[in-house]
Amino acid sequence: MGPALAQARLHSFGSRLALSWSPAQRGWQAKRLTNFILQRLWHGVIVVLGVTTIVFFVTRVIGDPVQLMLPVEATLEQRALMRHQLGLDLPMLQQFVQFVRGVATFDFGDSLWQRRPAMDIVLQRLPMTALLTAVGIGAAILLSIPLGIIAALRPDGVVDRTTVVVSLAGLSIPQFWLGLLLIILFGVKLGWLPTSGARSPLHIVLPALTLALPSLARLIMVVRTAMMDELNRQYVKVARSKGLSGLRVVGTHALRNAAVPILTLSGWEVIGALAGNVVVVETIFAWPGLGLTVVQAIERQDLVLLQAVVFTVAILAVGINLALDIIHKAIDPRVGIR
Amino acid sequence: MTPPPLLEIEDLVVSFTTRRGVFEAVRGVSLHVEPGETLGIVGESGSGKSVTMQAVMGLIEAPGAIERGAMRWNGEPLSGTRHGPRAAVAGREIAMVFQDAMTSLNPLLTVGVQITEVLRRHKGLKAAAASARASELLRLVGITNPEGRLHYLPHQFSGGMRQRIMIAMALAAEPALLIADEPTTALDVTIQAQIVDLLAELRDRLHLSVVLVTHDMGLVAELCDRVAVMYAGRIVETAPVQELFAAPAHPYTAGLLRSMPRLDDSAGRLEAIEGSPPDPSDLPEGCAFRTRCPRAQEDCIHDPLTTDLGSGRGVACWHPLAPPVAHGQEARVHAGE
Repeated sequence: MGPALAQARLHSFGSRLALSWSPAQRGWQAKRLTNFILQRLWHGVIVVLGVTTIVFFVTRVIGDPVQLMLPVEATLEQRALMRHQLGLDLPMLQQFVQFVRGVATFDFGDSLWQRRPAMDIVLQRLPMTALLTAVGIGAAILLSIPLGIIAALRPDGVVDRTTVVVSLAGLSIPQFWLGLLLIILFGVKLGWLPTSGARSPLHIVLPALTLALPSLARLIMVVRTAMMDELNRQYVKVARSKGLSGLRVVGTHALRNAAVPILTLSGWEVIGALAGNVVVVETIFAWPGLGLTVVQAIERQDLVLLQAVVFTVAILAVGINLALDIIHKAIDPRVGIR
Repeated sequence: MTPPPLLEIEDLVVSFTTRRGVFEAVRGVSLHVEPGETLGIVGESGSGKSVTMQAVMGLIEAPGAIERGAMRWNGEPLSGTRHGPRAAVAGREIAMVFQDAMTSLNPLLTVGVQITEVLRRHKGLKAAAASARASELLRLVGITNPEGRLHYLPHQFSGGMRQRIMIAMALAAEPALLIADEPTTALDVTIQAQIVDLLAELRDRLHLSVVLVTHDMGLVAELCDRVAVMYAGRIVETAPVQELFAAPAHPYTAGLLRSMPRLDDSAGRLEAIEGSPPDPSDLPEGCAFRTRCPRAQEDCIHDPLTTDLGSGRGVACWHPLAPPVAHGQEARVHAGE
């Protein structure tokens, strides 16, 4: 295999993303794409470091884990000893240096509460949260696209009016209250679905539904607006004048252009779920994921565990954003060129 | 028996529902296009000329609706819905080029995709054959290196190039009729001339019938065989192009012609038609032009009927300008009263 061929293969991944470039432009485009990804990765590193730094200092300012860990009658000496053992008696800057050194080797230290590596706990809980988010937000995304398109195709039609009303309701109901309503209806009154824990596949239904509904409401509105905007554009009229099928006009021409805002919001919904909404939902339904872990870590002033969770969520958020940027660029090669 | 016209529109009425009520953008238009003919439709913005052609293409969408009228293609009714005919004819036998080439192409699809989708749909071509044909079409409209350019996105072309691509796309299905809706309005003057030349050349080479929608009388003089003048949703005058320019019968046509800049006239100032086009939701009773018309009299409050002036001429006016004596100068004098 010649070096030219090897290089071509190396660049083929990037080239395939920039679908619409001529062969002559492909190598150059692949290089641009690589630079683009490296730049976004560098931004991501800054974000993760920033977030973890903030969490490190804030948690140390607002509380003292030793107060909680020792019984009320513990002596001052006992408290000092405990503080020393945890390394909390060192100057804050020194603690920070140690912390950063640990992060660099992926060692976040032991959870103060469970006395085992904090990252182990995080990695053990993460799959449950990932599952809940994937099912909940995934369902919201998959449902919102057809519903939003139908609403956009027939403004003021039955589907449009219904989705608008339901969406507004969905946006107005606080998530915790929605969860409680669903428990009362499906758990207590009807007795159809389990409301607590994660022992069977059925257990995911209510928490996923609670997580999905507000996202679905937001997504439908965005799909609807984006599609309405695109369907009114001149190129759609031209596509219709070409005698193309309705599916082609709506699905290929309009949806491709509407995809950018839809994808952006979808990504935000995933990040928003991971970084916040799962805390509420997992607490309501005792779903053993990261959200529940966060609540427990805060209750116990477990700084180390909290740092590990925040670091992980920040990494996920950055990763999702990077993936979105790349997909965005694959859909619209003009991104970053203008 | 004479063969039926290629396209025939009879008493077409298109209405739009707005918050202020229903108004008719097209109020009973009848016209026909013969094979090989170039028909110009002229009129000010809002006169209904584009809406008429969009009705033919089936592009009228809510809040617009076709209220009434028949459209026939080669004598066969263009069947369809309230919003226009089905795509069977529109797109395959009738193609349309739009005014704004900058926004007429999908920004996220390569021009190759946008041309080949027509070939796949109407010509049943597969990927490779469609690509080959698409680059042939691009070459036809004067784009160099067409094979490479198929992979370009619209933003990589200039406005004039995009209009060429639009024309290539319109010709992909080998239509018999090309509707060009102000194809040069959005372009630079030098580019306009190129596009006009291209349209004329392709029309002759491919034996196309053309409907040219424009407000540019110069373009009409250059390209058209016959002209229909529209005002406030109606055709007020139709005539072969030389006769129309020589001796307009409708006062509005005369006004339009007088508002054209002339090389041989040193007067300096352009004459304009007094007033502005009427609000389509609040048209004057009877002849819609009477409020601006220098020849208006009391009977203009009744709807004017279209009078046949012979030799394919027609005018909808109670007090048309006198037929030409010699060179149409007299008509111009009358109109200036």
